[in-house]
Amino acid sequence: MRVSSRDSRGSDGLFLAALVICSLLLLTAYYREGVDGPIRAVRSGVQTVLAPVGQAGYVLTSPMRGVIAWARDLGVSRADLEALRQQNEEMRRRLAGLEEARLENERLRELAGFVAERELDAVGAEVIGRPASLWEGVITIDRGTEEGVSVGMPVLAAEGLIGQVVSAGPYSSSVRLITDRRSGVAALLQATRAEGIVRGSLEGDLWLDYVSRETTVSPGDAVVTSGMGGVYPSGLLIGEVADVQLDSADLFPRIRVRPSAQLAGLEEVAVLTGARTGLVDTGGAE
Amino acid sequence: MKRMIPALTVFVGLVLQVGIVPHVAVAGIQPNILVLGAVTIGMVKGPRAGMVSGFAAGLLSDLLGTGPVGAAALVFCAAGFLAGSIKENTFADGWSVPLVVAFFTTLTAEAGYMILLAIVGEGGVTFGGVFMKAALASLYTCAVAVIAYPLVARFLRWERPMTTFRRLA
Repeated sequence: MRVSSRDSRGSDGLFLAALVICSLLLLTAYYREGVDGPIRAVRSGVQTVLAPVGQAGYVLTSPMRGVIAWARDLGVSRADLEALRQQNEEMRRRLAGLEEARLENERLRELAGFVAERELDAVGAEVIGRPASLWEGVITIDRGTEEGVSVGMPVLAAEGLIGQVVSAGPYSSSVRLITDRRSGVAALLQATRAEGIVRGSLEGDLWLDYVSRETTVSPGDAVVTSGMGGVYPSGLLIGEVADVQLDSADLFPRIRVRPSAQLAGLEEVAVLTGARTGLVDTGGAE
Repeated sequence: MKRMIPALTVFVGLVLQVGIVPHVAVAGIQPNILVLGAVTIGMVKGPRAGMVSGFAAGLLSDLLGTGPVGAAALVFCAAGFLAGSIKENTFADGWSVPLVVAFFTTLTAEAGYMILLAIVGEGGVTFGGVFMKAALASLYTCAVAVIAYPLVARFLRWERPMTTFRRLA
């Protein structure tokens, strides 16, 4: 233990107060500046510089899975393991390559089919960065303004809507997931056509707000985009109702939605570069 | 050189936070290496170094995300100061002290950040789920601290090599 003097404690307090004031000034400047302000420009630069680090991390963490497999094999004698390893090395490499190609092919076919079915203009992209903070719901993709991606464009996975482009650099873009706390999507319940807003939350859950109390909502009901506001085309699947709570004092029921897309493990996505508004919503008739 | 070591620690923390942490998340829960770095610096170098490192680490964390810039700088700065102050004013000693301090200061930083976001209107707080998420992330960070703290503490005290966790603590 170090014993600090009263003087050093006093100066530490002043130093802390100075840093707190700096933080508050930064917060104020952030909210007061426009979308092209210097703080946002610095942020964009930092994210562009660090985008390859996230991509490299994905490659670097692959051996960690190998370490786990190695630990599992510790019971086998080292000589046997070495012989088997040499014997199968080439075969495993080929198999892994083929399996990876097959899975990627399947995912891309599914994604391409989904986009073609709805006659949407889209550009495919790979996810190269995942949220670096517990409270962030933003991923990075490897397509930017050079490929026609711009802020506001909806982003889809094969299973449905995943989010919207919130910032675009020349060769990469940030996509805010629908589960992010600042996300809001005009939506409706497919069965009853009751409209509401699907919002993300700090916990990462998805909530459907502002649905009338009189609406009958059941777990499993599909939730799709309504097309209101013109940001997202109508009829895109968002998810399904997971559970509903309605207390007598509530103005609206609390409807938790389970996203249709696996947002945690996304690898390929499609950005709707020329999304048509007013797409025909089949309402589940097809 | 002496002043560069905490800066280097924060920089390494930044690289790990961006490159490695997103890929080792378990069910959406991930450790906060930047907070851990600031807290460790606070415990080893004192409250002032902790708060400065926390401010720098928080600012970097703000710039990495899409939230308001300055929010994480504020709470990480407080966490670094808190860690340094606790370590400086506690009589307890032993290997568990840094881990307990790391857990509670990380929890304070995560919960403080969430509350600050709610105050500036960036998202409502529902304490049950959010607090559980923050607590699990703090536990994960604490688990990382078991390995990282001795290494970083030794790096920060490179002029006084120590070999045991107890002495590092």
